[in-house]
Amino acid sequence: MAGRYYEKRKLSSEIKKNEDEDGLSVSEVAQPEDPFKGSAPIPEERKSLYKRGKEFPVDGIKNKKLKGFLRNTKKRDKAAVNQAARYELLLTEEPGYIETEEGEATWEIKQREIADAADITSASKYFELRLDQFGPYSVDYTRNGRHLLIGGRRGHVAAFDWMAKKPMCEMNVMEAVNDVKWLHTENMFAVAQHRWTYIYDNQGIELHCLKRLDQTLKLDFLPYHFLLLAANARGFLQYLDISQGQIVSTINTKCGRLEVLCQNPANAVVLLGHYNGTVTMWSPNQKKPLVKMLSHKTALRSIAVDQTGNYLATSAQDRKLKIFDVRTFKSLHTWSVPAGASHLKFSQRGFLGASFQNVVEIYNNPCIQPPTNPYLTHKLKFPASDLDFCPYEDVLGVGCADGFVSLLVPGAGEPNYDSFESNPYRSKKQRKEWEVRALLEKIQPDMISLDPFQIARVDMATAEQLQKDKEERLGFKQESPKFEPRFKNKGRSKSGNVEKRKRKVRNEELRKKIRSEAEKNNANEAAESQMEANVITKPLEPKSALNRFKKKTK
Amino acid sequence: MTKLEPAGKLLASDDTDSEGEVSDFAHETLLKSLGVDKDKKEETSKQRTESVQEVSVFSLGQKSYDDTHAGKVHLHQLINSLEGKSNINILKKQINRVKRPTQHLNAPLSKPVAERLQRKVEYEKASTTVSHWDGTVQKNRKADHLSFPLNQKPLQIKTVDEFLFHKSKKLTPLEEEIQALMNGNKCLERKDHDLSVLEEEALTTLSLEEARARRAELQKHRALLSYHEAKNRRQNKIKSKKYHRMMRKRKMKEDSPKALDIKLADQQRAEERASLRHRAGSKWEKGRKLIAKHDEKTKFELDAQKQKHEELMVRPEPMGSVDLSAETPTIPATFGNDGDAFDHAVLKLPVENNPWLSCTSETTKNDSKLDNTSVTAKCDSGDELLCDNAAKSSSLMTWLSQEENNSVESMKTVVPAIDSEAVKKFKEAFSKIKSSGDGEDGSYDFIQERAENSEHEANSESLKFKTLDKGDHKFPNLNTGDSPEEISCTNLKTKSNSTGSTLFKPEIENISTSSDLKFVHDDNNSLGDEQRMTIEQAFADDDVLAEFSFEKNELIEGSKPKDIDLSLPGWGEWGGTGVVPSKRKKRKFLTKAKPPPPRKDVNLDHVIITEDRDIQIAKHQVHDIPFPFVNSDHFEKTIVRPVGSTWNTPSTVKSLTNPEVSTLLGAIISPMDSESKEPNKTKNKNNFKKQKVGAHTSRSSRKQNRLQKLKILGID
Repeated sequence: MAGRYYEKRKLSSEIKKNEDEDGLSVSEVAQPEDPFKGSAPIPEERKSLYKRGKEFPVDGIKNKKLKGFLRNTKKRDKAAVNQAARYELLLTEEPGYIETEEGEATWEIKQREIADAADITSASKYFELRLDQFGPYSVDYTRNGRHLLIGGRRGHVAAFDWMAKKPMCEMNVMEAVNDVKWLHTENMFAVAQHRWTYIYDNQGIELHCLKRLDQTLKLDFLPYHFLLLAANARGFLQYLDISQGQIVSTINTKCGRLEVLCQNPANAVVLLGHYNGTVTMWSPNQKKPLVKMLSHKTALRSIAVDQTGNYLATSAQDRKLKIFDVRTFKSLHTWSVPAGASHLKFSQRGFLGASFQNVVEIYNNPCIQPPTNPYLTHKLKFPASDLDFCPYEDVLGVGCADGFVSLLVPGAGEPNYDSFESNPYRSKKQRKEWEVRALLEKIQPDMISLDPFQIARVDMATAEQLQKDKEERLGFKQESPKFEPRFKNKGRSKSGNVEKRKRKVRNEELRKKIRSEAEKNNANEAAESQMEANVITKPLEPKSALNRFKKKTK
Repeated sequence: MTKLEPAGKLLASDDTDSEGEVSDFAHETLLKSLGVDKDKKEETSKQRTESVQEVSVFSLGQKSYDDTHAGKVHLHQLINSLEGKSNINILKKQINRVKRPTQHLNAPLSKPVAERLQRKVEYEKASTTVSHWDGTVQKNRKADHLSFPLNQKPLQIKTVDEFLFHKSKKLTPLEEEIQALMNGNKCLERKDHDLSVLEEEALTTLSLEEARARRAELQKHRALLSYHEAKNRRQNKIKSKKYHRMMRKRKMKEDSPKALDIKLADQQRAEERASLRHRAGSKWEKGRKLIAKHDEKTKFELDAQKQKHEELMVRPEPMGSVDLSAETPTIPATFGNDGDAFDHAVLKLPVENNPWLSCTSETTKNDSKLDNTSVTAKCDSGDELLCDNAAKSSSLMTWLSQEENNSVESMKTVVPAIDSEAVKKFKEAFSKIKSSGDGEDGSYDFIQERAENSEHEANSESLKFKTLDKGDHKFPNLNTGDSPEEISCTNLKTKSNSTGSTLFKPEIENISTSSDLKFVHDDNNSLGDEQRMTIEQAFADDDVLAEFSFEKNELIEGSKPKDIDLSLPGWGEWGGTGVVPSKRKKRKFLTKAKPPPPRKDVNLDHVIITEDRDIQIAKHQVHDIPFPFVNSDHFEKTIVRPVGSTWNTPSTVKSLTNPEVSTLLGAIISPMDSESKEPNKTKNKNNFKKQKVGAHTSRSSRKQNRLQKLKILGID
């Protein structure tokens, strides 16, 4: 019989508390030596994902109370980072990939082949909707990737649960449709129509007609701020708070027709592309662009920012595709493409989808290394009119003149989803609860800035500057504060005396006011008398006792 | 100082009094013998007139040492009279008693001094008792979280044994039974031992060799298991289909004893596949069909074949068509359109099926077929056109040209030259639409919008590409179709209705196999360069670079602080029109503005970053650093970490948001007792105490110093 070790019963005296790396106390039992002492080590690069800012030294501080506090904070931060990094263990799903045989290139693989090789559920995600009547379609997926919205140029709008292939609504808005966008949930969507922008519910019932958002060409939605963005044909960029129904900001960009728009998901800054090859970045708080960057020499056709908010892809009519680093505004890679990409889109895992006429190409991590070959290519019958990667799925939705194609792009989507954040499988009740939570956690539009950490910075502005800010915000100068007499010695600050002094000032003000009014009145009277003098008055009739019997004129 | 009378005087005066008249001589000799100076006697014999410490009426007592040294009565002088006397011992004792140093009580201190002392003592006593608690107090102050009542026992879940052990008294019959059973059991683990009785017995009965052998056996077994596990895992990871197919077959062979049967089945299947019988409309089937009309057997055979065909054709998951709803024109999902010959006639709208379009049946055709207006951009790789721009733009240009050089020049495309005729046609058509649509406002907008859009699209979208070579490495998919299609999506056919509604019907007619949309793969880049030139030439008019650098310069100049000129023309000078202040004056009264801090975009020629203050976010920012912080950096570091559950794990959130004090509901929180005291370790408190004591001592020492000073000055 093999010898077995039994745990000795824990005696309270034997329990030693030892603080491990996470700052959690672990009871240690007298035992044979553990070869792997303490908690499992966490790789540094995983920790670095959760770190905020650089570490700071505490040694030089003289104030002991402060020193202790900072030290404690540091310790707590470290524990929090470790915990978060350790929880990555729960992210069990792995991203998809394509494995080719020797001599075979991924870009030669056709969609049919991928669908055949994939499992049944994945294969069913490759499909085509042939809707050739209502012309080029724009496409949008909800944030959890469960629902799809397509809007045909000639008025056809359809929303459906695309995984279950279950339609929610379908209608023709009897007007040209420029763009469609889901709002915060699958219950509402916005449609940029020929004249105005409309909001419909998932049954296709018109909820709102936003007449202030007219001639909208492009729509976008900032999910954490509940802001609907509308880019206008006359060069106006508008922010509509959909939780309050108020227009937060209207900016005249003075840059002409705004057809190229995307958002930076990291800091909610909006990027616009213009005819003169510039990219501008906007926040609702400033009427001028935060950044204006000349990226190409010719008109821009499309732009896209990746999920981390670090890289910007642009393409223009000069048939080049460029990747910029948004942090430094420097170009990283440039490569030539058959045509200026009409649409660009980054997937959650950094794949770049680009459409050139009727060809859709997908590049694998173009931000790290300029691609020599595309990852996948797909040819359509008609030019692509819109692209959108489906979140949490390896799917690229392509809208084109003859309908909608759903393409399989293994590895495009994030395999693990946060069910508190966006859950593809959430129930109605969960959605409702999420909605309340999201509204409670809504970020004010004021907080949008180029640097998302600016809110955590101390603003060392002078009191004058702050006063100026306040006036600018309010739009008028506030009245001077109430007169408060200063303290005087020798009993002159008795309440009666103070009151007397106050009254003196008040009376003086009143007198001034009255005087100015009187002057004004005098001036008016003078003017009137002048007028009267000018007017030829009728000579008065002589007074007579018989006048009383005359008929009175009104 | 009072002079004290010698002791002998008393005796002498007693003598004189008793004898009455004694001769002067004798008196003098007596005095001499006693050492009394007669002259001084008068002086010294003073009566006490005021209250002094010595309580002697005739100033009898000690004489001060210095002036009556000689006249002091010594003991031996007194003892002379004892000569010849016996029983001295008693006297000795008496004298010894007298000689002993006198012990006297100090006078009581004055009340305030006494009280002060009392307080000091009390304070020290109290501070020592209180200081025992210092450690505890410090610890509790520093603690992140306190839960009252203190010293709660941690929640523990008892094991069954412990529970039973504690319960012990009242056991249910079932429990008793179980315990009886368990008590005798040798396999049961014991509290105070690592091994159970049975295990221990087994160990003792085993010899060393046996035990070793057993251990080795077990080890081997375990190793084998792990090998097997590793092998399985490795095999599972292999992605090759072929490998798995082979493995499956091998396994099947191993599993089923009839290996021959499998072989036979394989063969049959292969033959079946080779004969093409499984296909519908095969040669074999065609032949059989003719006979089947007359022959039952053949018919049956044919049916069986058909069934088999169907079986073979069944896919694991047939992908159904997607029907959005019954109203939409049914569009089945299609797969793999790569190879399909696309029938464009399908695109013609089935008007009768579409209720929306049915209203257009009586519309009159406004024939304004628009040509595909392909406005093609021309570009220029040479920079000579831009050379005459502002100096600032040159650096910009170098930046952009560098970008160009860096670019991967692997793909070249051909763009046909601008078709000026097409543009003309388009414009004509547009004006026509405009004029026709002018009557009805509803339609006008739509048409205009549409026309604008098509124009725009023509600008941007319809670049056409040619494929010259089929062996394209870059875009293999593009060439797979046997007949490359040309697409003209901007062809429009407008129909205007008398009622005002205008609708569009796309008609794609001009579909030919013209090589308009083909990608180019050519080795001679010259063609591509030419095309690029044309694009850039097309946009030569709007000089983007110069415009941008001009804008940036203007902005920088505008934001610079201005110099202030305080000079007054005419002051101290001859007046009159056209007075120009002197240079010296100008220089004297010009206050130069400070140079602004460097812009963020100072090193980025192609970027303008705004320097404007964001007043909206400033509203939410912290302006003053809170108390213990002195450095804004430290404060920022402490608030940068989020606390919410969106960014943290639940346990972290709980620890970060733990309240400072929590109390157990319903529990009595009694004051701390001496048992819960912490050992006094804190340095801080000791320092404090030392300081306190130090302060005290310093106060007393100061007082001593003052006293010393007074003594030195001779003031008592």
